[in-house]
Amino acid sequence: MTENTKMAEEEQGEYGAEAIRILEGLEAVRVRPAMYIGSTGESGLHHLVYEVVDNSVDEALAGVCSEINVTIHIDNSVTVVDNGRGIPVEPHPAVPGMSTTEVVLTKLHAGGKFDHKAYKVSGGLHGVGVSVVNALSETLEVEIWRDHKVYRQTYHRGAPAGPLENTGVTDRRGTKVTFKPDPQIFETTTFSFDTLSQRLRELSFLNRGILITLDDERDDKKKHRFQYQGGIASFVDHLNRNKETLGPVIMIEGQREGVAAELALQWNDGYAENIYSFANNINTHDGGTHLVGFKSALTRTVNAFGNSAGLLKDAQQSLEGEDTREGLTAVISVKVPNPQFEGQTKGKLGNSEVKGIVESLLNDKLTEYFERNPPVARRIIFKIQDAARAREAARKARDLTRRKGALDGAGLPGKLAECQERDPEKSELFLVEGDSAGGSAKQGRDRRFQAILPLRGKILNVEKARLDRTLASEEIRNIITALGTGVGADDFDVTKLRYHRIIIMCDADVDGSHIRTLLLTFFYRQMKELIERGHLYIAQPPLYKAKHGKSERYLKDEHALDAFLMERAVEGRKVRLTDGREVEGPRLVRLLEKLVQYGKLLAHVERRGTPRRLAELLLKGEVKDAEIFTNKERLLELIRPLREEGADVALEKDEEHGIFEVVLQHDAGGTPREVRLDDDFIGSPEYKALYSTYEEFRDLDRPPLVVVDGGEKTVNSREELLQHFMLEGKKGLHIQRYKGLGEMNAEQLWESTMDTATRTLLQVRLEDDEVAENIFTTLMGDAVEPRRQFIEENALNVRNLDI
Amino acid sequence: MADETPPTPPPDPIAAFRVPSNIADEMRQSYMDYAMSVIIGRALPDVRDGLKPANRRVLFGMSEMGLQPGRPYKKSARVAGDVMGKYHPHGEGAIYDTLVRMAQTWNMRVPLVDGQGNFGSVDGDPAAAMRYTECRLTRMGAAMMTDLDKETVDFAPTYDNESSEPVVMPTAFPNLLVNGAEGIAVGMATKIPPHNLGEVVEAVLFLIESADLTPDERLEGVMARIPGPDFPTAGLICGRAGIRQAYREGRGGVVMRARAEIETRRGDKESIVVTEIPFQVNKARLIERIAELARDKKIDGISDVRDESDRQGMRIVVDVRKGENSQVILNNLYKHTPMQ
Repeated sequence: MTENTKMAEEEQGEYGAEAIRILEGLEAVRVRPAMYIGSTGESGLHHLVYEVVDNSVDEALAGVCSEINVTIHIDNSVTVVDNGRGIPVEPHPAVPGMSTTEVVLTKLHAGGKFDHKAYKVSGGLHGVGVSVVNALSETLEVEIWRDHKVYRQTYHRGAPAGPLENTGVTDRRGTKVTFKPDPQIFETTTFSFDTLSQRLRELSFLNRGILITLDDERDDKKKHRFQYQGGIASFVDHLNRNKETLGPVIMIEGQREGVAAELALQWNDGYAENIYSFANNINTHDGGTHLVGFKSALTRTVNAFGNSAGLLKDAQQSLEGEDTREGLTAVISVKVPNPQFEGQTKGKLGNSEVKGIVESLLNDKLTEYFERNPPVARRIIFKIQDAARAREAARKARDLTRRKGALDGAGLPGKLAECQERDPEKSELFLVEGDSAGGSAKQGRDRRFQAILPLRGKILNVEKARLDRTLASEEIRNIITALGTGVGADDFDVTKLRYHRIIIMCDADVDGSHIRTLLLTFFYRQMKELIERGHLYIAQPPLYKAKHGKSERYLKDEHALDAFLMERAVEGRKVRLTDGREVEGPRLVRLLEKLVQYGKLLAHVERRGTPRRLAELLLKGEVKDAEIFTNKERLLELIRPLREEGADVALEKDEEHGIFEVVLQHDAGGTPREVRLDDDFIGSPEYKALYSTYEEFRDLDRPPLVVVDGGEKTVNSREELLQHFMLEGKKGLHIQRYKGLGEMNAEQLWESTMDTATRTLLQVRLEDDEVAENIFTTLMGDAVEPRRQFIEENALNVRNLDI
Repeated sequence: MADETPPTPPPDPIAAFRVPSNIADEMRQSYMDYAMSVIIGRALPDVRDGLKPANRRVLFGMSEMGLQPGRPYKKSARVAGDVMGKYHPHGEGAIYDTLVRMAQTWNMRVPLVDGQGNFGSVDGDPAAAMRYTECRLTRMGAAMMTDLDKETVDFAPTYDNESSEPVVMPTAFPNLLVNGAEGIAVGMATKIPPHNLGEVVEAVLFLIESADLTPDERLEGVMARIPGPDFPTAGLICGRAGIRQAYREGRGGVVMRARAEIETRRGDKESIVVTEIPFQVNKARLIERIAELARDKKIDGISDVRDESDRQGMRIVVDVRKGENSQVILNNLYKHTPMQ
């Protein structure tokens, strides 16, 4: 922060008092970044990119930009390039002496709206503008190509390093912004390719025809290219890609009273409602007038058409809104000249005129579509009728059970172990796997505010079942009754929730994992609001218990166990290297952790096909780039130790690429295999990770090393060193591994998992609905092939293989 | 502790220990844990020894208990309990079922377990309870573990770290192909029919000696030596195309048929006599089905159906009414019953 003020003093001579005032504006951003960018965590970090991209998208909306390129660099800085008109560079009328560019980049709310005639509608996240990005970046460099000239300016934490300069000529036009997020502000500065890809894909859907590319320099293989001529129709296509669909995507567009609307819909054979609404490219998570208009018009149109086509048997059978939306995937995108966003998170469109516009548009165009495509219309109406029937059946089932008092608060004597506390905010409900665990939980809990509901067996996979079949399951009915909220669109009332913390507690084994996924599916599909409000948690029963004399310690998983053993071993010990330096305490712990990580990386690399001996030779030989593969002598020198050990290894020339490959006959657990090593491996992220880890303990590779702990013990290799410490860590320790909650007795269960003072809970969050929707469909849905593919792709990354 | 009013838990103590977890990530991890475990460690056999973990543990357990062929039988309950305690932390009922299946001659082309007592039948009768039956390894079952103690295979610690068990069996004969396999995992399933031991061994020898041929030539050689599956329940296979496709691509269908002859009996009446039925078909249910069709007149001309099987072998008799065309009735049986 002092840097900014220093620079301000330097600039003061040139720009006057204006500069300081404006910088103070950006100071506010640095003091409360979350207010401007949402959070200082991962989502806020990615928001920086979206801010910059949104400016380019604004150019596209105005029809003057056709391509946006986003690149993530190795140091986690990001570049966004567009081919729009380029940010104006002339002196800004309102701020004499400063270029418009600098105003845009240093003044809040200047955004991209500096010319009302230039843009008919404008997006940009509610207009905070790219100046926020500037304020929160360690460095930001902007390059503008405009009027055949090139302009450049650099900023540090929001303050310009110099004025905007004309540095050359060009034929191009557009804007290039490169920024590096400030680690002083953000908790993490690592970008996620997948997260960015998701949003960029969405933007390209919403802006038909625009080309958006994403490159990740940290991993050469990751490049995505999005261009959808079909606009949001392609979006719906994409959302329904793993599902069986009814008819093609219905695309409706039109413009009335200055508001442009695009609606795309397609029904699939599932039961979920999947509707996304956008206003000016902003995802309106809380809906708004456009969504309301859509829903009401849909219901009316379907009923009207059904009646006129004679498909609705009796006048009594009117199809409700809920029925029409079962299995519907739709995207609604409106462009409004003066959008008003309401709600706490500003995610709801408030313009009242939009409702009527969307209504009439949908009504006219959808009716027209149905009339022109009777077979498709019929299939859709049938499906909706089916939904109506199921709804009736569910209602009857619910009534039946309600009469018996099963779903209505009357309680579940015998199964649910209630708690004394009446206030839901202070109460917790544990959903426990099985009666054996249930017993321990009931005995171990604090009955004042902890209730227990044991679940027998694996619960129904609700992904494949409608509400009426879901309610047929006794276990599910028990859960619903215990929660007190009711279930289904009509009945579900989150205010009736009897426990504000619902905790899933399953065994640590794989069947426990399965039950956990089944429960998550139930809550996601039938009680999504619970998750959104943060009421759902997952307990973390320990996998290990380490006991030394009278003191015991619970450890969550293998990682925690290793860390614990390490700490224990390091106490009172140090390591002396060959050059006399000594390592101890936290540094030693870190070193040993790196060793363990290294071992795991090696195993990982070996699983993917490169024997560790070979990888180690590359590391020892300080091979950092692929250059060595063109140099036969150096390669031979590298593999000499292997030859001396008697391994069958040779060099082969790859004529096509002009490089040499190392070919090794490797015996992997009885099956001989031929392994080929070439420059590809050096460029892989695995090797890079190995290399950087190895760098950190290169010193340790020069034996002998001496462990000093009262006495002195000499070890001759890294492995021996690690082994010694692991053994020492385990000395005197009795380690128990838990396979199930029933293995723990009540007291242990309380201490490790249920006591609020010592437990850790995972709070289930819904970060990206689209991703979650896709995951549930893939893993729990009907189609087998996408699931098999998912398993194949993720097989090597499994964290807990428990047979 | 005498509490007048329940003291409230400290306001949001869990904030400090509350870790946010994205539902998508949690689903991904938990599901993958489950799926991979079921695939690798439950439902699908290892390609090297053709055994699922449960089978392997039962065989290993029996071997460790000294149940070699020629030695006395031991109570199945002892085996099930031992395997459950030492190697397989699941229900002993399931373990016993695994053991029983390996002893059934109509299920295993080459049984690995030698069972004493009632081990069920092709009619679908269950085996006697484990406290009644006794078992030991067959010669082939023991052969699966030849040289197990000579560091031929990797061992891994058991689930409670108290001892170790083999990761795969040394497998003296190609068990996966000979006995076949069947399993439903997550996202994938398998069904491999059994084959003739002699033929498979011939094919293996051929493969060893033909390393210099092209993969296509080797496949042809293998298919020449293994014309197709060989079921323990014998029977007939219709057509080669499905078999060849299965061998070539990994997926293919095999149409199986019961072996039936037409005999004459008193008067001019004929009977269809079935001596072999298709693999994994339940004889009792087959007979029921024939009777059902006859009763409902879906197949006309059947006067009686009897199960005349005894110690000498299987024999199902379908009496044909006088004057009816037996061949036509036989074709109908193939069409409408599990006889084909």
